[in-house]
Amino acid sequence: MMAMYWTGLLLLLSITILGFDGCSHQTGNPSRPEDPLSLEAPDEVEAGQTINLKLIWRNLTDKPVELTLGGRPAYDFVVTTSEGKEIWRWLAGQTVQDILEIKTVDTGQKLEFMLEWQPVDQAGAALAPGHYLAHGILNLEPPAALKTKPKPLLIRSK
Amino acid sequence: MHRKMIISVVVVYALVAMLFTSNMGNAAMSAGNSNPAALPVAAQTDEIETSDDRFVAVAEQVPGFGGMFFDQDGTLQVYMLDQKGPAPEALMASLDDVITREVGRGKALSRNGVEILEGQYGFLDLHRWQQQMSPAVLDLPGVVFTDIDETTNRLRVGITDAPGMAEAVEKSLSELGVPLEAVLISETKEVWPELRSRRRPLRGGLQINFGGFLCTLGFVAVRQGVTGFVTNSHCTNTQGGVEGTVYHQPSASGTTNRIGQEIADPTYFTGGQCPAGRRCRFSDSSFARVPHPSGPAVTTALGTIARPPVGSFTWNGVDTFTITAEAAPVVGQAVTKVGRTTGRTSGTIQQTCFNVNVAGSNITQLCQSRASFASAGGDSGSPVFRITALPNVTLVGIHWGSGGVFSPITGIQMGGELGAVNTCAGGGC
Repeated sequence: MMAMYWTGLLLLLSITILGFDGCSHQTGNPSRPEDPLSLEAPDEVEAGQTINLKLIWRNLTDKPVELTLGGRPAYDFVVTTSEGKEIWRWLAGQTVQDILEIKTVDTGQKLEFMLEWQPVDQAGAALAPGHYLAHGILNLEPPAALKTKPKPLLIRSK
Repeated sequence: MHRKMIISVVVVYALVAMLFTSNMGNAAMSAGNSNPAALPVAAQTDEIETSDDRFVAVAEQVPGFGGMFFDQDGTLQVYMLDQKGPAPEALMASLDDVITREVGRGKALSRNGVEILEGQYGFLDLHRWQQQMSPAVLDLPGVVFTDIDETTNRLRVGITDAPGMAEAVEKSLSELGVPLEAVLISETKEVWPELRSRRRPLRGGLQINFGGFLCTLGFVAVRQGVTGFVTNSHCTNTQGGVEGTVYHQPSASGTTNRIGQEIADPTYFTGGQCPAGRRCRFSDSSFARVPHPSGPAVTTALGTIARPPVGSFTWNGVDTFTITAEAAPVVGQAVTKVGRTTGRTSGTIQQTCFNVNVAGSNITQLCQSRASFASAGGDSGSPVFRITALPNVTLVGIHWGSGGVFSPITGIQMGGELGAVNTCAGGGC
């Protein structure tokens, strides 16, 4: 069902469950490898270049974990200035289906949520070159949510 | 409810689940409005066979049987009254035969073998004492449950930590003539009924489950002569199109909680009023028949919605709203919704007949409405209504999206959508 939603969209989104060895498209370092939730993104890109954001939740425990994901999509990405002012949030103003999904993630497995982002602000204007911070958010059984540590992102001039 | 508490003991849970799973064709509910037209498989009866009844059947055929449970290794542990040392082969064979027939309904339960435990009480005595004590003890404020605890060969009474509770229970047991040494009294959390609990008859506002997902039952309705319920199209296996999604309430437990099957979910269309590259409908709605064609029987309460307190999803199982009318939403009207996650919340209609894209998809919902009530994941399908003269309400639609976005009842009943559904708004329910 999920694949139906994501297929053919301008944005490339997907939710997959992969083994650790299945991670072959890493574009940067996780914000904190020891955290279950991490954000992968390039450290820097040229202005105008598409950015691949990947939110990953890993089961680092020795038992299967049941995660309740809140909403569809259950994940979000936020970009702030280096001072922390929010300038873009993927789901801002969007209507999310109010469903709950229960997923069991085995030891050593992970959930991945991906988005191709053309770096713009909430009004659609291209981001100026500079330093930014990116976060990933995973909504759980309301009101719980997980948020990654900020991932520094440099947009260079062309 | 008290049984639910007890089956939280993992080993017993496994057994009880198997028991109920194997009895779906016979289970029936007797409360609430029945819908004979929707019960082609399992007729309703006044009798419900419980797992205790099956153990009684075993005890009547195997003298000394004291109950049984699976241990963590999957070994079937069977209490036998005063049985010391290894059980005779004849007893083991008899046990296996009777348990398979009465409990497993022909299927062997003991895949990892059977072990005999020395019991102090026969199940017939435990059952009789349980029948004696339940009405009186459960009537004491602060008693949460009574049960035959299969893992200890005793009765068990769960109580809150209120002062004097244990003494009050013991006094009651003594008056009833139930031996105190056969009863374990333990503190437990009080069980609060919720929209997320098992509820019959079915009504609007209750938690429903399909696959790995949770949503809310919108309202019970009759569509083309078939009784069922309306929920969101996105609360089916595939949004748009019928694939026979199987629903449970509150969640799947074998087939015990199975309540129905999706039978109507119009496909999303392209072209016409639908923006280029998008797929559209005028409502996010689907219809499921009740019960599932293979049972069990399920009762429904047409025209009613669970009525928890404002801001709560805790529900006493008694208070309800009554649907007495249907109407299109109008900006400025106060509306209420009841959903499994955020419970009963209210707000004001802010937008009507606006077209909205669904995040992360190519779906556009046409002519939707928005209100300011709070909602969250799991509330999809919630009934949205105006309270006219409590408990009477006017049904306005079903909720589906963040920010209080809902499909109006007028859109749900359009041609090309679900069409006419009887919600009992005209009365007579």
